[in-house]
Amino acid sequence: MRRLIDHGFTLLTGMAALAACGLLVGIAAVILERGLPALSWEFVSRAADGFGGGGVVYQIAGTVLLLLTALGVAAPTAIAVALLATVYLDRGRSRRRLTLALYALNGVPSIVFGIVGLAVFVKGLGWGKSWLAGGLVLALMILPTLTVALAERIRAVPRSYRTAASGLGLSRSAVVWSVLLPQSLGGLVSGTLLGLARAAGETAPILFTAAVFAGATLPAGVKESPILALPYHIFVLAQDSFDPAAGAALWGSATVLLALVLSLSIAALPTRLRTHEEARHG
Amino acid sequence: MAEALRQRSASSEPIVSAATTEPRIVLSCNDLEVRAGGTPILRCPELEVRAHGVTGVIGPSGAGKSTLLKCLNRLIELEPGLSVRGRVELDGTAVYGRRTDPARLRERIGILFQQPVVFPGSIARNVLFGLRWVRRPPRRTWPGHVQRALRAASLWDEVEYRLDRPATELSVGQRQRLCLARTLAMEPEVILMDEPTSSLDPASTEAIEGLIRRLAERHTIVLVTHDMDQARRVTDRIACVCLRDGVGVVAPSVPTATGLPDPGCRRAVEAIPGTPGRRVIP
Repeated sequence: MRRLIDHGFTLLTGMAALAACGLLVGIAAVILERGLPALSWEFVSRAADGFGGGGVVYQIAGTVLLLLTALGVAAPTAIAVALLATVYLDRGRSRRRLTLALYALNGVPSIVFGIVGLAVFVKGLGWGKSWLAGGLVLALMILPTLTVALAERIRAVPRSYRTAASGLGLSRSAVVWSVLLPQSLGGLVSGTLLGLARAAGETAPILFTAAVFAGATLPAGVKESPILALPYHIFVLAQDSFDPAAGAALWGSATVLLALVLSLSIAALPTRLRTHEEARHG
Repeated sequence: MAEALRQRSASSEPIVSAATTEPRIVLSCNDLEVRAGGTPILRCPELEVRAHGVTGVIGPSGAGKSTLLKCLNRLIELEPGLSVRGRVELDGTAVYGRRTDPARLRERIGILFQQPVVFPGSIARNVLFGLRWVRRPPRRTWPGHVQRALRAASLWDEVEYRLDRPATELSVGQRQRLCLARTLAMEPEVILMDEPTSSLDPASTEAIEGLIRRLAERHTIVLVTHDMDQARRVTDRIACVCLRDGVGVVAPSVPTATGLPDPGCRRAVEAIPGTPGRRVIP
């Protein structure tokens, strides 16, 4: 009976893993099947022309700009908050409250972030639609993911490392720089990756704050400086996907977005592998 | 060295030197009490550690030997839920004084743990770990620091040609000596050793014991051990920690050769598992 349950459980977990992988492969296959025919050097290097014509070069540039802004703001903030939660907040109650706030922030729907961005940056500060407003909203959105991933890695650093470093006379900040952050780099990389992957595909937060469908190139300032972005481009094209030209551009754009996210993963792979290797060998 | 140590162990003559003047007191504890959530777990009414000698702390497991050690350099403050009352002085300066910087204090009172803690990285980087983050010596002086520390820890000959190899490649005994080299590189006045040979084979134990005696010529050493033979071989004075009503109580140190005066302490020490049948400490 015990063996039967064991085999049953193995089968169940195997099927679940197969279903998850199958779903991933299925989605990638559908996007690639429809998107690859639309892809060409022209498509990724030319500006959009009309509805579904031309390329997506400014959509790519806009998306990258949004991601870089979000990363530039969220990564240092996440490091600070994670260190506060794991090192500097001694009292359990404050630490719990901070963790609770992070999880609550993680659960906020993306459209709410968009509305907050609209109220604060677009209207409140009078920026209008701006790449900076979009980047800041995305940063706020990915902050919990980055922070939680980094905090978990910091907590996983062997306590003996902290004690040994403190025993040598290192101050708390020196322990942070010499032990905790280098040992948690993998957490920051994987958290950033997960956060950026989510941010790259989000349409709602940039809908009211940063993105337009046409008429923008590279921003020259902050105020009234909207950008083109891949998710918003896909969103608008999808509403008219019965038009063959729009359909081709839609799937081509989706393929580019998928490639963008994938290239982020691949770029982070060496760091993650090195961190895992070091963790395994101590 | 082994023969010398064995002869010393077998000898019934006092281990303390026949100096006519009393060595100065480097470290002292008065009415020290450690509490866990308000409950006392360790009391040390009086303890004196004399300069340039080895003071042993012996007692059964769980009595609080390591806790006592961590009180001496304030590493206890890194342990959640523990609080310290009473007075500890280093050369007449209050260790727990408001103006005492714990990090600076730990530079002066180094510590060697029961299990060697090596950081990910090369042998040389491990030796330089504390120096680089605390004193920041010029890069051109690094090789000199590495060589001096490794020689002092009797490890230089074994690692001279592989200083850039990962420290994790070393055996446990070598790692312990590497940790000692890392501590010695900081040139501490006092070195606390928390059962440094408990995880080592007899040959490595012998090497470390020989080292401890040599280091005592320049440093003041406090050695936690539960091995009475080792205490006789290595220490000049010995203090016993035994459990009374669930609280570890530290008896004042006495010359090792005269033995423990307190019958309760003697019984506690003799009851330590692994103790030979004979009464090693009279």
